[in-house]
Amino acid sequence: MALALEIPLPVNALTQNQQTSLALLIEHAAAGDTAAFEQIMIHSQQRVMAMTWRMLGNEADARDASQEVFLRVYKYLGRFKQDRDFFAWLYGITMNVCRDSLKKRQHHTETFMSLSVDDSQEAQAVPSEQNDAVQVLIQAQRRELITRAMATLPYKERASIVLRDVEGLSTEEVARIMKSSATTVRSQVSSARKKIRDYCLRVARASRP
Amino acid sequence: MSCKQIQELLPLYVGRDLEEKRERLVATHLEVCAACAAEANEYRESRQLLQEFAPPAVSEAVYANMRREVLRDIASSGPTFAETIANLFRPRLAWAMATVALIAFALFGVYLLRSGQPEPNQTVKGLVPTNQTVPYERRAAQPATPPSGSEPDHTARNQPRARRIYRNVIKERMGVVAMNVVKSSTLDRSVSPTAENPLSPPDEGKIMRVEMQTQDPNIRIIWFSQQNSKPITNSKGT
Repeated sequence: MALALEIPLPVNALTQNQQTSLALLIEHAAAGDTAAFEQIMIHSQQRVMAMTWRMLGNEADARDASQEVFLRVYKYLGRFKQDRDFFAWLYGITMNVCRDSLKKRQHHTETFMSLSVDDSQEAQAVPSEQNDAVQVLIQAQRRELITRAMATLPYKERASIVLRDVEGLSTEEVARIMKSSATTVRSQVSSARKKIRDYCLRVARASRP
Repeated sequence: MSCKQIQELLPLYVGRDLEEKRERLVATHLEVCAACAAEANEYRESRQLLQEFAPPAVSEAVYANMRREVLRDIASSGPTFAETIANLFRPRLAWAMATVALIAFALFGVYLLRSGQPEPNQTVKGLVPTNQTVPYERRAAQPATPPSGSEPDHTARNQPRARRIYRNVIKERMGVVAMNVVKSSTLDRSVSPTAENPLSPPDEGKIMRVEMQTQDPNIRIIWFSQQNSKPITNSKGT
């Protein structure tokens, strides 16, 4: 079974034709065309799922949150202005849904990480070579490490670092999505990077014999 | 800059989030300070780990199920009452409603203005009603009793038809709100009409004096007429 890795594309990666077709789909969907809306979902489901997974840390919560994101997108699509960046607008809705989801959790640090090395799909895959198995294991361990590091971050720092370092948005774009200032975003990103680095160091020193 | 200051800037430096001047300062320092350079490498590695932070693969079946659930929820729920009200304030509809409201308000304003104007046949307060004689500074003598049969009944219904029509025309066209007709054969003839005294009546024959009060309280028309002769029309203020 092949291993599929999602590589998030930067926001401006769409070609001109793709942007035109997306604009048409948005126009039809805003008028009530559910077939057009389904096409929009197909275009953006991976981004939304990846974002919600990174923010919430487990697939079940990510699926529920993604569903809620698309329901809100359909509800507010009529208010979307075509001169804005659709995916930046989508990220804003995703962040709001994730924030609401995190607030509902009573013990989010306990439920944040339900993915372990044994339960991961990568671990259950049958590698064709031993090197592949080692790589898969390393990858899963790295994912677990960074997932736990992210769990130590408060919501705003987590959102800022995901949008800035993972999605590749600029500081100004992140500030617009988070409804904040560029200075605040820079401060949150700096704090988040420091905490992640400190966590990784702590784990590395703890694992040394 | 000291190592402590450089270390504060390292998290932003590795992500190229510093302004150009500070970035150059940090880069220069890292070239000569091994400890800070090692710390910068640690930041770079953890940042790379974060950038490779990919969720596990999700099958197309999961995505298809998610889309199905979303479309089902959309189909089952119509707009709420709040959404219906909110839709009324969408830009285009709001503009249309505002235009309609403005037109309705304008029409209502016109209606109010027109209904506020007094009717032509209304008696303005302080003016002479039709059954009273107007006192003037120079007033012709009044007969003690009108000659029988000679004084016409001033009530409209008993007047000849032509006169009624004439009076209505005067009232409507000249804006007369009250009219009094005095017919006398013995008016004061001591004052003859001159340029200085245009209100005095002519001194021959039966005189009919018509006093008409217009809607403007400052304008009163006094009209002397001899029977079987052309009336002399005088008006104050015109």
